[in-house]
Parts: sequence; structure tokens; C-alpha cells
Amino acid sequence: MSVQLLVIESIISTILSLGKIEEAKNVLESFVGGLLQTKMKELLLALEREGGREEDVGKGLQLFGQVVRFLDGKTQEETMYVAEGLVREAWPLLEQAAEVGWRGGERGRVVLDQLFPLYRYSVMGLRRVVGPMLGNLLRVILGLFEETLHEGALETVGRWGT
Amino acid sequence: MEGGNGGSGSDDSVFADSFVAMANRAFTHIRAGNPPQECPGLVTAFFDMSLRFLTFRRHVFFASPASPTLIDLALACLEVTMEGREVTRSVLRLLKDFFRTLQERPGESYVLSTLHLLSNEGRAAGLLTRTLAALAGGAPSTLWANYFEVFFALLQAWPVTAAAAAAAAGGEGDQQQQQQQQQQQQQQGEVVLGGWVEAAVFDGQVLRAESFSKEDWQLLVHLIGMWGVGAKAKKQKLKLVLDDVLKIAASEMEVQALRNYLVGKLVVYRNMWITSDKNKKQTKINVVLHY
Repeated sequence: MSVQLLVIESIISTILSLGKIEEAKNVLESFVGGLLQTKMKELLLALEREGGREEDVGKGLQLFGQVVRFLDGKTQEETMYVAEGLVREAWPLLEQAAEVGWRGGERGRVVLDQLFPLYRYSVMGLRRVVGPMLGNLLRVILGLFEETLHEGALETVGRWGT
Repeated sequence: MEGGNGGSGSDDSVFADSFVAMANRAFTHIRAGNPPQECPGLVTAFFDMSLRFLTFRRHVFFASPASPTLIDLALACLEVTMEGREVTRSVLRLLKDFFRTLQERPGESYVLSTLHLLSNEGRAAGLLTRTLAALAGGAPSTLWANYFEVFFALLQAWPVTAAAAAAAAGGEGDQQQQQQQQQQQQQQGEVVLGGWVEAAVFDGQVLRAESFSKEDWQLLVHLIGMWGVGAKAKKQKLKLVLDDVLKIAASEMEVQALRNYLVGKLVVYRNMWITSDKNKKQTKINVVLHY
């Protein structure tokens, strides 16, 4: 799986980790054989225990649907384009995810489990978009680690330097 | 962002700050009543991150004010029984690469400070003792190979680092004199190392094989020196020796196996130095063992 697809997957995972699951289940059941399906199901099982906000799920699923339709048969360059667009569009939701993660607890941990890989993949595969935000992003990661000691922050910063 | 040694200055600065911030936070947590064995995930992730810094941001790693604490934490982790072997493995991976980097790149600017870091508070000697104890049965067998790699890397790196540090400190005289001084420093480093090995071998807490006589311990020190130290070291032979020590300690093998390494050989102790009382000049001697 290309790093751009990993970005896309982790964006959706992060957004979904913020919300309820019923609507997500409906869409995923109609998405057969997709690259993201297994991972999504794992996520949904985790979310089933946690609950979330309906409006975020709706936004996430809307993005997810757009991405999947667009990616069907596209080249890697086009996948890159989608991933970049998705990061820009989803950024407010990702900031929201960081806030939820910062508050800690089991729910925060579930969100951070998705958010840190997203940061990692974005830095690796989307330099054009993420490059100008690196300083701020690093501050967010350090802040999250300071507050939660989540191991994902260490892995993200470690891989970042490579 | 560039990897290896070639990160840009601003990047390095950002990562240096991040490394210190994260290290400080992790250490604070551990010191606040959360020992490494109670937070294995954090410790593993921390050492994995440090390994990446060591590999890709070498100067950031070695120059970091967090490095001494990191080495202390590594030693502390090896002293306790950790739940899950991946934690210990991540610590050992870092230590192995740490010493390999020192050995392979002795000319770097950080070598002098690193030598001090390792010398201070008996860090290197303590690590040598701990790894030898692990190799003699004090650690799970699945980690034996990892401990051996650290042990060998330390034996190889120390004399080279000592010589490089002396060069970095600035020697006097022409080029030939400086080379001689470096060679002397390397030999001195080997002597220091030999002392640590001897102390570790004769430490009653490290090796508990009842069947070993004092001469056998001395023989082990000799074998480690012969096959573990210097450019003519033989890694596989040292591995066999230490594997035999493990079996002897577990009463699965007779101590004679160790003596057999020297059967039919005239063995000369390498690079042994003595200091005369009168003028404190050092003289190189050869000690011959007859078997």
C-alpha cells in the first residue's frame, strides 16, 4: 500500500474514531473488497466500545466515500492529489481529534492510536502539504506526549527524523 | 528533511529539541515511581525512537544532554526483569548500534564527550559486567545473542574510542608522534578494558560456576582479551567460548572444555602493561601460559 493510501486510510480512521458507528457500518458493508475494509472493521470494533459524535461520523464517511470513488483506477500521482486534498479538508477534524486525544482516557487513547500514524504517514508522503506545518505539528505531538505519554508520539518523531 | 548525518542545521535543531523534550518527559515519568518494568511500552518506544535518532541523526543523538540519562536508563532496564522480551531487545539494539557507531566513526566531534560519558560513574564497566552476567546465564536464552552483540561491540569500541578521544583532545608533536600517542592510547584503552573484564569475571555475583578455579577465571579473561579485543578479534571464537561458559555454569559441560581452547598452543598475553614504582614509566610485558 502506498504511503498516500495509508494517509487516506488513517485520515478516515481518525475521523471515525471520533464518532458513532452505525452509519459507518452501513457504508462499509457496501464497500466490498476495498483495501481499507479490514482496518475499518477493526476500528469499528474499537469504536463500538467508545461511542462518539454523530456529526463527525457523517463528515468522515462523506470524505471516505469521495475518496474511494475517486481512487478507483487512478494513478499514484492522482492518489497523492486526493490525499493532499483530504488532509487540507479534514484538518479541522484532525485538530478536534488532537483535542480529544489530549483529554486522555480510553477514548483519547483510541483517537491517538489513529492520529499518530496519520501524522507519520503525512510527513512521509505529503511533504508539499505538511511541510509548511511541520513546526506546529511537532509542537502538537510534543504537547500530546507531555500530556498522555502515548507511545505513538515517540514512534512518530523517531520516524520523522529518517 | 534529510537522513543520516546530513540533516540540515535547522532540522537538527528542531529534532534535538524534540529528543530532549521527549526524553525528559519519559524520564520524569519513570522517576516518579513508574519503574521501567511497569511501563514497558513507553520504554520500548523510547529506545526505538532513540535508535532512529542514532541511525539518522547521529550528531543530535550524541550531542544531546539527554544521552547520559538514556544510557543510565538502559543500564537500569538491564538490571531488572522486564515483562516482555521486546523491551530488553530494544535496549540492547540501541546499545549495540551505539558502540558500533563509535567504533566505525572514531573521527567524529562527539567522541571525546562520549568517552567521558561512558567513563563517568562506571557506566561502561557496569555495562560490561551486566552483559557478561547475562551471557553466563543471567538472562533469558532468547536474548543471549543480543547480549553477545552488545558485549562484543563494547569490547571493540572502547580502545578505538579512547584513542580517538586522545586525538580529539589534541596531541603534541609531529604527525608520527601523534600516531604513536594514539597507538599508546589505544593500548591503554585495552588495558582499562582488560581490567573491567577481569573485575567482571572475578565478581562473585556475575559468574557462579562452582567448578571454575581461579586459573580458569584467569583463562577466561585471557580468552576474552584474545578474541574480543583489538583488530585481530575473532567474534565467532569468542561466541563459542562464552557459549561454553554458559553451559559450564549450568553444569551441562565440564570446565575442561574451556581449557581445550589452549591445548597445544603457546599463549601469550597481549598488550599487558606494568608500571614500575620508581619512575612510573610503563613497560610492555608478555605473560606466557603453558598448557
